[in-house]
Amino acid sequence: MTLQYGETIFEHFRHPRNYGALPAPEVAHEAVNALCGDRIRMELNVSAEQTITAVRFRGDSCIISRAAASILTELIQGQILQEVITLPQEALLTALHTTIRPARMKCALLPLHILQAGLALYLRS
Amino acid sequence: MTCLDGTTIGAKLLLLDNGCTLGSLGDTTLDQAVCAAVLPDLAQGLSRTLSFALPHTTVRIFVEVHIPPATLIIVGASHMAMLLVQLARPIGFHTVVVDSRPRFATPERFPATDTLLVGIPSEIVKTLPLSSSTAVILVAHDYKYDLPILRHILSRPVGYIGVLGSRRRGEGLRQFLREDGVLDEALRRIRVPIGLDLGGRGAPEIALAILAEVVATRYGGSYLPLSQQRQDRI
Repeated sequence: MTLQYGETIFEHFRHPRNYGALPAPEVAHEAVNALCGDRIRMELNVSAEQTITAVRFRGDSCIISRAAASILTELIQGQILQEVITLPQEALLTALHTTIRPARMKCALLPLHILQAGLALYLRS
Repeated sequence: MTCLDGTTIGAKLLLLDNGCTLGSLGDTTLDQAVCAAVLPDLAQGLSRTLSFALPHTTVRIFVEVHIPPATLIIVGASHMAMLLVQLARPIGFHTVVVDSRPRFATPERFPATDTLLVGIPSEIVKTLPLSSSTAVILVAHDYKYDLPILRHILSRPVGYIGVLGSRRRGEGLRQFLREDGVLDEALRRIRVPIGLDLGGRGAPEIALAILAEVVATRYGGSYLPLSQQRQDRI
């Protein structure tokens, strides 16, 4: 499994960072990959200055989705919301340190799509 | 439990599945003996009359067992889950189907199920009451559901734990759980491949084999044909 997905993905799958729930998140959004059933929930605390002060994720998802969510939480910690909502997919894909096959691209990007959809709803409200 | 003979006729003793008691049958030694005899088979839910020898007499005790309805929790709203629900209902199971995919876990696909739950499966299972009369069957064929759910239910007194899959896949699951610190004693509770060996190959036949094993496990069955049972058991 280590060889198939790369050391970074395997490490974050086995020891996910920021896994769990926030007691009172300002942003909470959950979505599912309708085909494979990966389901992830992202939660954020946002400061008055619109920066992310805390982030958590949880869910039942495949090794790539779980690792991508874990890495994403590290990428966005302390970032301004506007930067996160426009975070390019390539930033997350690069941080995975491996090549993601087209068939698994939805897995890798699911956490980012959930995060950005949740932020869009939050900013709209 | 009610005493049917002797000077304490009508005396009652309540025994819970955690071993706690309330009341007495009139004799501390008798209370202890009855509890020791009844507790191991409580999950079978069989009411019956038992006889106990006291120093100068024998007393009959009526044991009336009340247990929660047998519940079948199926994780993964697959084709196999549909068949399991169809077969489990007439047997008397309260059926619960869990999946993360709303397009699979629909009332149209599961018209006979009692409860249909969509969300994060491992979180949903943590909210469900789990007892010795509960059977959990994982048919999603997916590590992402199987591992977190197994981690949870292996620490609960679930009566039956089964995973659809090959022996090799089962060993892979056990290896992951072992690395997480789950003890071999707990891992032995996982039944994979699931079902009795009925020889069938089709999906409905596999569903029947699975439920046959669930029922046999619940009642402490021998898993053997009645025709091969010893004469004294028939």
